[in-house]
Amino acid sequence: MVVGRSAARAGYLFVAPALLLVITFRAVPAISALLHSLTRWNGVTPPTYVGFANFARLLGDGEFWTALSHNLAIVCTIPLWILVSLVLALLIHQETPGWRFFRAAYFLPSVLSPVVIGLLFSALLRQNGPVNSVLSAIGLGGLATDWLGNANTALPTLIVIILWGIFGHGVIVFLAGLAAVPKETFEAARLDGATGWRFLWHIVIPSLRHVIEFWGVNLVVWSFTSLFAFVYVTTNGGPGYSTMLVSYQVYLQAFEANRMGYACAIGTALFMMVFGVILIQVRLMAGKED
Amino acid sequence: MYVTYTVRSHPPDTECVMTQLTSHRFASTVVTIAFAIAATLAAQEPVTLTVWDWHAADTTKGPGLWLKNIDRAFEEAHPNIKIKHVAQSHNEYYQIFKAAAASRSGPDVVMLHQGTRVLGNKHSLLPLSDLMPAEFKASLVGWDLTSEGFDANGTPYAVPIAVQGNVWYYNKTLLEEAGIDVSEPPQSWGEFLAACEAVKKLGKAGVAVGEKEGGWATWYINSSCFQVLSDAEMNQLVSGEMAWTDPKVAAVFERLSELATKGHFQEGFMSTALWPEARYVFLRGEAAFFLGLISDVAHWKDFAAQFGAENVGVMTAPVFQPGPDADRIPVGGAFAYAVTTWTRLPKEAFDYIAFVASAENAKAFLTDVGSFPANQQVDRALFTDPNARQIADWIGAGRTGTQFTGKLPETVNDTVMRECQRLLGGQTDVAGALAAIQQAVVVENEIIEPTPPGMVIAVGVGALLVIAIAVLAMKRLTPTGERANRTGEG
Amino acid sequence: MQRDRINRLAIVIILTAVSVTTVYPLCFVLQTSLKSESEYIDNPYGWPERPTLTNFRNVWGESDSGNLARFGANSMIVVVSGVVLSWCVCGMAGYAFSHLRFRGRRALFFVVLGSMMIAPQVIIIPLYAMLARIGLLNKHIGLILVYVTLATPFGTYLMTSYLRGVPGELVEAAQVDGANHVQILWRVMLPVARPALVTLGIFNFLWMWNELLFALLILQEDTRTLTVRVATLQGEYTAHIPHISAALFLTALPVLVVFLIFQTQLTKGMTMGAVK
Repeated sequence: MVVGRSAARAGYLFVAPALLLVITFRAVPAISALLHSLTRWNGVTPPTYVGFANFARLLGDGEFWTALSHNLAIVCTIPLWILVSLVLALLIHQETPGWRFFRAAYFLPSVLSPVVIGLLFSALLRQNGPVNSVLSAIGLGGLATDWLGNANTALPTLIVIILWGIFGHGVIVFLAGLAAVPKETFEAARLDGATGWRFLWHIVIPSLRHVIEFWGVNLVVWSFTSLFAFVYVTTNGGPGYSTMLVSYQVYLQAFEANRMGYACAIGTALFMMVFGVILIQVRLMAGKED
Repeated sequence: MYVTYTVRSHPPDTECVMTQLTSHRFASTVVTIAFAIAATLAAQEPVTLTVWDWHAADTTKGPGLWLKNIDRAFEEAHPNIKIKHVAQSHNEYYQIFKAAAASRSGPDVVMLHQGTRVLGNKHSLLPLSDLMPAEFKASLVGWDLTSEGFDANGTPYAVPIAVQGNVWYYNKTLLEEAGIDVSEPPQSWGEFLAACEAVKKLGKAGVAVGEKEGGWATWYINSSCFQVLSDAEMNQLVSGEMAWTDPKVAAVFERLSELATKGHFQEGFMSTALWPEARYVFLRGEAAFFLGLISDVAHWKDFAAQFGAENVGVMTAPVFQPGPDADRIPVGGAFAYAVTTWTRLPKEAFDYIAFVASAENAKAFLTDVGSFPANQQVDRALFTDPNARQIADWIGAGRTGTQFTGKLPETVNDTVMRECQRLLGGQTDVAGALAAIQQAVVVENEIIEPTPPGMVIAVGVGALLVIAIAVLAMKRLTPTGERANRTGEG
Repeated sequence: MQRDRINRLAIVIILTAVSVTTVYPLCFVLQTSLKSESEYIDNPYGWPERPTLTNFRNVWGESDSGNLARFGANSMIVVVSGVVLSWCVCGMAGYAFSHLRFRGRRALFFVVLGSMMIAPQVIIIPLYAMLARIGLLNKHIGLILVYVTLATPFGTYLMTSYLRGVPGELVEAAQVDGANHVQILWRVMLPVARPALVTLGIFNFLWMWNELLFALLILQEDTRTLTVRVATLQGEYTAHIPHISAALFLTALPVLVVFLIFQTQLTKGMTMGAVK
């Protein structure tokens, strides 16, 4: 850490563009949205003040709590997402035969936008689609079902689709992280006899602690705010409410139901929840350091 | 952005004129000529009319081509007006329009779906009563879907251009193969179910359904509700005066549920999208019945191209409760054009819309696009397809009704769709679904008392305190390096 | 040794299985784009028996409101500018947050990070109104600024995390050599942070290229990007799947190419050797 007047000056100067952009184009509209959460507003005519009525309604809104429970379920699966990306990155880093091909192959899903991914999997996962054909061919025909149309399998299927779309990103992030770890660290551990899971758990994860924390935080925030496109294209939150997510509900309220004020209230609540989850997550990770 | 000239003129004062003529003759002539030129220029001042819709992207065929020809013809007739046609994506259309409306910028003319989309956005649309001559209004159908309160005599906010609605199509070849007599449509409930059963034995489905977006169930409700509910009762269901748990409503939902429990939908219908997959199922001959449209796609023209017009039949909803209204077709959802409130060219905008809706362009709409225009002055004999002529006859005879779920506020409509999905998927029963919908109606209509501002401020301050504490706790956040360094040293 | 080899084989098999799941869908898009609509109706999942390039031809040369090349160029302008600006903004901020001490550092970091937690649907309407007022609508620069803003939290966090791993001694050594902070950033930090910069660049290129909602909102007509153009092709009832597949495939191609070219920068060969 560099101290001193010139450092401080440079510090302010260097963060100025980022701050300026973020405050102008994110914070200011967000404050506007916060204020509007206290109103009844259809987005066009002047809003009417209603105080906390929107939040009161939110507390009693079954659809919201269902959506929230689904989001929390997704958060609980995120450690698995991290593990998958980490293991694959490690194998590539160790130059398992074919690693160059795998590195490219795993990133392919990230090349596609969520819309494309959703359309693709909607087609592939149909009752008479290739996935079920493959399952029948390998003798697991009993598992064949309407994956996205069956209320019991819809959410898990959606999670797998999302994981498919994002794990390649994680692989790249962890590869970058692994590239920064000195060769000697891993070689020393190898010589000490650490292999397989012990290698992973006691050597790799601590070395990549901060990258993992960073990617984990990013995934959690992303899962709360940005899954809208996936839901929109695959299931529209259905069947029924089984894949309803909070970010999709914000869209429905804002643009379908013309309830901008209520949508802002959900958005505000969402923000506070994400904030809280991140706090907990960071404390947990910081705790691991001790 | 639009340059406007203000040409001011006043009748010359006689004394003034005399003085001018005598002492300022040259100057006055120049001034007069200048004004004259300015006046002419103002009349010819080229203006641009911006039109938004979701059809204009593909201008090589269909509605896109039809609109392109209209634009060209209009520009020829009005040399000082240029049409700027902007294609928006259909799925994000209303998000974009809302954003534009919120900042009062954007198009002069905007396309909207008839029904709740028009009425939900009415604050951005110019009421058209003053701009519209009476005979113009009389030539079109569909005003109840674009006017205040779903009332054809209310203030109109948009001009209906097309007619869209739902009718049932059936595959005659497939039914005959299953041993069903198709000289008359299998319209009674018993005949309909028997036909589905027979087709099932052939390994095909009774009805091709797409419930992924949840819309099919509402189509079914719309096409069948006339049998048990009067128009007045439907309005009462919308306003909440009549309870959704009423047995009349339950009758419709029970039939819907019956079709699912008896397995008359194709496999995997819950994740099948209505467009285009359910349509493909019917086109492939894998189902006997299809609840299709009357315009654009999945309609008589579409199926005639695939099967041959003589092998497809059209009928109104299967009748489980015979009555005088059982044969009505639900209409709605076709597109309309409206004028925005912020436009600086209201008259030109309306002229454009009137031109689009005119009889001549309506005829092209029919023959080239294969869709039903709202303009009723078009000769029905132009429909050569027997199914199309049947539908035209129904519309002409007034056997139509507004799509019921199209009148519902969006939150209630959303609940209806999701509860129907749960019903068809077996997660709830008719009573449970109707109770949930009733609850949604109640919530939609309840009056909310605003919280006193004092309480809001108090809570706001409290929240800030909590945030401040949280921020202090955040000192443990590592990326800024403090903690890591400390641990390193420890 | 035998056990090792079996282990290795098992690992390779698993890796291959995973890559099949990632490669097949792209093949599916490609094979669908080679079919005519009637063939797609009859044969949605198999290989095209009568492959045709009609869809690609239609998509490429279509409509008089502009062809694909122009929209592709728009996409390039917006995305490349966005990526480069992001590097500047996030690189500077990352260095400052990780190595320079100034008052309110933690709070400001949190402001930048916290902005990521706001759901986009909620800020769309106020943001659009603001852009209209400032006059940034329908201009590439308006969209570029929005994209850089959206990229800033993640990018700053990434750069800060990464640069924090650079020991302070390096900076001190450079200062002793008489470098000011701009030079330190340029000559010391950024070269070391190359993997992070490449990662950031690739990620940003990707999502900016595919981004739909803000592009649709802010750009009209001629300034539109490729992704927006493809989206407008899908009408209310029509979804000519093979046609759309062709458009999607062409849209995905540039990103694929960019990734394949630059992925070698992520080699494990980059160590902290320079630091020693």
